[in-house]
Amino acid sequence: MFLEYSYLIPIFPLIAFAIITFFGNRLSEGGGHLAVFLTGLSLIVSLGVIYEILHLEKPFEMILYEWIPGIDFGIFIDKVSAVMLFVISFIGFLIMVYSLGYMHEDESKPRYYAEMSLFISSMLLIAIASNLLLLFIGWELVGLCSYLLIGFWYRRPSAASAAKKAIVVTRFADIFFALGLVIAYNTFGTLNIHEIFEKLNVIYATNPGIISLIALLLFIGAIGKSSQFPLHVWLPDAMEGPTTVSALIHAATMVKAGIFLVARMYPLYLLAGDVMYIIALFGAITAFIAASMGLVMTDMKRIIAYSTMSHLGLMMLALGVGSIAAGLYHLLNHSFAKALLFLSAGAVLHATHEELDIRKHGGLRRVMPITGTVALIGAWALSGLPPLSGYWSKDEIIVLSSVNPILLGLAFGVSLLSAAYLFRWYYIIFTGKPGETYKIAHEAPKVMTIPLIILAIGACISWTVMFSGFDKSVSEWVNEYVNYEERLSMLEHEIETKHLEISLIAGLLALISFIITTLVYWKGKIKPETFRENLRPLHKLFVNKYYFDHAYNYFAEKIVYRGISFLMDRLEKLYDKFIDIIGKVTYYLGKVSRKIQTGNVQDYIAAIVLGIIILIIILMAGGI
Amino acid sequence: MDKISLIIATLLIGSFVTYISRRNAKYVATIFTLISLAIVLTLIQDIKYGKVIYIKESITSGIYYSFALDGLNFPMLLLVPIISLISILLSYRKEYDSKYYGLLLLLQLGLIGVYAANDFVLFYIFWEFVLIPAFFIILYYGLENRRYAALKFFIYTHVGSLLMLLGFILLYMKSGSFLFEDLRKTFTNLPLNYAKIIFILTFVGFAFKLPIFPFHSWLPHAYIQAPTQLTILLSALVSKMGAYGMLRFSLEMFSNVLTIYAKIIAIVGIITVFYAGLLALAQNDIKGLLAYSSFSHTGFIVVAFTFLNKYSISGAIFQMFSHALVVSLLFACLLLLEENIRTRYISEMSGVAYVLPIIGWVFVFAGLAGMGLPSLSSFVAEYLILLGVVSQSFIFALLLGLSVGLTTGYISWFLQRAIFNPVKEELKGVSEKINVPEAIALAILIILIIYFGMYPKDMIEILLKYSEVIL
Repeated sequence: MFLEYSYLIPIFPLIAFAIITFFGNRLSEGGGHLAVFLTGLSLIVSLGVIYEILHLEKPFEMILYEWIPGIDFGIFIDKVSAVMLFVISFIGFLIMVYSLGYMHEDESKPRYYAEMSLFISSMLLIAIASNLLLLFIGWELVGLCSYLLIGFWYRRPSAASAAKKAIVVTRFADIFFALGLVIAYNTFGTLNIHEIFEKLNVIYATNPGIISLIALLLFIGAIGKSSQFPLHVWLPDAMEGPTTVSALIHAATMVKAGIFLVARMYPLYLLAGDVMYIIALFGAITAFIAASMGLVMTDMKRIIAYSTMSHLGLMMLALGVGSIAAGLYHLLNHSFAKALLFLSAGAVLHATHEELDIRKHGGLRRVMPITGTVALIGAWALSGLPPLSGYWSKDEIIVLSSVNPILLGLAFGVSLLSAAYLFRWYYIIFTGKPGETYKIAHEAPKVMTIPLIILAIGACISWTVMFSGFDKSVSEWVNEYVNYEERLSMLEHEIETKHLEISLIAGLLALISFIITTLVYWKGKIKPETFRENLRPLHKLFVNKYYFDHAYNYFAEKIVYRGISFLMDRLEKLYDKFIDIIGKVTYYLGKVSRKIQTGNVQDYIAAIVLGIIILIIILMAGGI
Repeated sequence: MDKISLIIATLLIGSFVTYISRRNAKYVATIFTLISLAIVLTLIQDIKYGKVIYIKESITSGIYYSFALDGLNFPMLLLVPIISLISILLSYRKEYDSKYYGLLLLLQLGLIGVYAANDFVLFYIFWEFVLIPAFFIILYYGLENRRYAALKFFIYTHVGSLLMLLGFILLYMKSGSFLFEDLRKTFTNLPLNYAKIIFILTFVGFAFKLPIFPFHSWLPHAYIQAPTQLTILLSALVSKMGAYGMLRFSLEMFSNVLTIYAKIIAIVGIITVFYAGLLALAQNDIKGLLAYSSFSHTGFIVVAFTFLNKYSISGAIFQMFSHALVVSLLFACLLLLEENIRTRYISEMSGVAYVLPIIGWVFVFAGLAGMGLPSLSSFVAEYLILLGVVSQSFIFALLLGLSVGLTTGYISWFLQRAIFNPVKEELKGVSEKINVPEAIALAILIILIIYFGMYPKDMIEILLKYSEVIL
């Protein structure tokens, strides 16, 4: 009974957006209560829908209306959507509740709640869209909300600049997504996800190249959205937004959209072998470089942002080597743990006048016991140490990566680094000598700590999803359209023999780095400077973020803006002058030949004739 | 009397009544525009039957008084009174005299005639007629450099028209009739070289009007020096006459020659898109930025219509329609911004969203519409164009896509510097003033942009039907 009303899921937050946009100032908490209420309703419907879809053999599909001839908008829900739907509506609701505390003192609350509601609505739309074009609309709308919310405090130049960076980079990637869409429409004659899958095998038999092309173009879109190498530069800067925004958009949901897109179109990707390899490789590279940068940053939120990027890379890696189940499993686990980490960071920031530099904090666990404990759970869950959620899915991904030595090497690197950067973060902020902020810090209000505790419980238990037969049912769904079973069994056969060793090595690496980090940052037995001194070139490379930002800035600022565009401006002015000069020459020639002058009408006629001559020459050259 | 003649008569009487009504000119002009809007809205009923010829009476040999409606001119006819209304509503604040409003109504009359004409002589008369009120509005009400700009605009586009006229006279010599259908029938049977000359002359004529690189020198001057209310009409409707001409003649009538030059025209179109886009990036004057941006986006139409399939053509027409709405909103925001803070230079403002929240955020919305955000009308056009183009050329589709990236770049960078960032000292304490007519104008545009983004089906069906017929 819930499924028939599933279109209400995105509608409720959309209503909140509309009402708060116009009447936000007159509502309690700037519309906050309304937003919480309507996202709550949406959560209830979502949970009902998820319950029903888990007990349903077939995906659910319904058509709502025709957008343009040939493109129907509607709803398509299956088990992949269910995972995403759960993450978005559940975490979205918790973060809305948390916002009541976190944003209480902000003067622009109505704008915040309106944009957050629009975000949740569009994100839910992505999860349940029946049509790739509808998905793309949601995709761009979340990009828009991300832009607006990164720039929420737009009077800070860094926030305004970060917002621009985010929209330019992600939209650059989306161009390729859009190209993929139109090529898909020309190939399949439809953009309905279900219908595309049904035609896959026929098209693949005649034209496998086009499948790879579409898969690649869609993946470029996913690279931008999910902050993968080499378009990852916007995500760390996106931390300029309020922490709740970072938690919801830039950790738990929107950045997962790229992963979701690949998972959603998985039957298509399975037929594009080369693209799968690219996905795995890019994922592994992202995971590794992000982890290494996270190790040297001092900004509280950026460290976790790099961690997000690293984990997104791992998810891509899992999808790329051929396991949709592992990818989605990690998506689910990571969402809880990462939202938890961000919100704990938010609690700290809230209590310390937004002090982002971790070196100014210290010993906060004693004044913020709840926040300290849940932060520890979050860090633990993501570090890859047993027995919390992150361990299980991460372990699975690292084992899967053993199909290729390069991937495995990078994955081991990630195991080694992630425990280090996460515990470094935790130890510096919450343990050790009291820092500058110690005196003003205080525990967060209940409206913030309760969502934190719920998320912490989630981070502890979300791994149990494994027992629900979740991986099997997802794989079965894919198998309906393409032959996935065979590939999976091959994959399993390949890793079977090494499974235990790799698991052990990965666990050992994580443990070693955990012990070293503990010795350095908690016990203070080893000075951090020793590492910095001995590994100076590496440290410099990491701190400068592999010079990606430098390169992009150079390109945008020096080459495009100061170079080409200024040159064009000069040329344009010269051209304009040139035409005026021709006009004047004609004018004086006319005067000499004593033609009757009525004004400088001739000026331009000459220029125009010249233009025509040029055009005719061009056309002649083109073969008249 | 048929509907089109009725609108023209209304506007003709309207301009006269407006001119003599002195103090109440703005209200009178509004009422007459609303009447013409009401008549235009009844066209929605007629378009369901496909092509409608309202009147066809022979005047002298080969010249007819004839108006027609089909999928190509329907969106433009719909826009003329809407955009004119916007322009008039935005003029309320300034104490313009009755001459100004009379000229606006004459301009509107000319535009209706151009888009509805079904005979070349009639078309040409209205085409030239549009120039006159536009010229005088720039000359009387423009900014400091208005004389130069008005003259440049006038001569440039006038010479373009002469070339076009020359081409059609060459065609008339063979056809003996100026009626569109007759011209079309004759053209397909012409010797190829003769046909090519006609094609080039007329196409260049339209290229001046749209404009296309390198015939664009009039555009920045005219757009910047004109009062912004007129810039709205110039960019939304007058320059679209060039695009309309290309589609109506170069495509619909001369398609057999168009296929020969399609590649070259598409390349020139792409150059226009990027050249103007890069120039927009370099502007400090917002009006210049928007002018070049508008110039860049009309290049899309040129690229699209050369691909000769139903999606790209429908996309080109929808782009004409949607671009008119979006560019009007952008210039409307600029107008209000300028009236509130008395500057239009990016370097002289920042943090506008904080001191002028409504204008600032509507500007953000308009900017997003300019970038082609899905769920807004501009995306529909971009989608259709890409769909049509990609089926024949991946490279062109990619280039068009990248130009959207460039648009995103210059618009978001402009928003960052002007609308966001810390509030500039000079702007502190400014309070926002928007009167009711201005708010209505903004609301109409926003609603239309969202409506045609969310529910473009009816319009697209009309356009697809038209494209299928002409192909």
